[in-house]
Amino acid sequence: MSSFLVSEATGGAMVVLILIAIAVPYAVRGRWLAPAGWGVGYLPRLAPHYLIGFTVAGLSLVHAGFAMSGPLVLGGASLTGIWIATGAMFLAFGQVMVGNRLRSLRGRERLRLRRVHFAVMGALVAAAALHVALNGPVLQSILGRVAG
Amino acid sequence: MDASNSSRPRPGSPLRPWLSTTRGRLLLGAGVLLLIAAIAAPVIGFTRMMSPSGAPPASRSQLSGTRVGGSLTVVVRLDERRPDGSFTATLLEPDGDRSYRATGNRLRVAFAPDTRVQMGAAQDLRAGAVLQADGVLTARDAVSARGVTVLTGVVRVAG
Repeated sequence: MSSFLVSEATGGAMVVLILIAIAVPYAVRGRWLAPAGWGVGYLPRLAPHYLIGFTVAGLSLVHAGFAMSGPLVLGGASLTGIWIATGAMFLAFGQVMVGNRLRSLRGRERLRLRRVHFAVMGALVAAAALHVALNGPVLQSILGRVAG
Repeated sequence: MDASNSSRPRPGSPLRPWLSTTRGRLLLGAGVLLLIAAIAAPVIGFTRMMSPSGAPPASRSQLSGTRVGGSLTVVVRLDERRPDGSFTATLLEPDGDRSYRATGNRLRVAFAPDTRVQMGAAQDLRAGAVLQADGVLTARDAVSARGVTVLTGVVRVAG
């Protein structure tokens, strides 16, 4: 499989994984998923969130490695997209560090850091969306067709 | 209430709380399916777009063997826009995985307003762009493209 396909596949996987990672904390908060009760505390229920967080950070390296090893269109919006993606990659690792710290914190400090975790998530989603719009050939193709 | 929802998870396995409820299992399954789709969709889409007609791009000799009016697939680099909106282009030949080399053959490539553009948009059809064009040979050195796949940045071109 060519490096382009690997970078496309890892990119698509990261988009879905990020969306699932965002949804998990809300899904396990109430009892909708477990009407009879979870039987474990809130943090153990977040296990998929932790797994996905580490996976996304690792996948971002694989994605960048394969994407940069292929031919690049350098210039204009495409270059901007690559810089945004580079920033997002570092942000993803920062997010993992914040999330890991959150697991051991309690009380006010946890609430404060959780707000940071939430803000970084917003920045990551915005950066990822911009990167996909500026550098994603599949999305560009779809947008091109929609635009006529 | 679903009987499976009442089974209490045992500590130890990180996914056990999720696997212990029906809704949790369904959601995990949906997540896995979504992940598979996210990986497969771009791969399948790109593979199909790379060869919409199923035919490999024509080499220099195949191009010269194609009769005027016949269908063909060519990979070209657009060199210059002409006053009539068409482009002068250089025919490219495959030279390994996602690599092409420039031939000496020059073509005129014309696009219609309804030409399908894949892997890019109409504004990507400019000088320097590399594309695979499916169309009809309208003269010995002219192609009218019915569909193009933009390969700029996806393939390497030598020469």
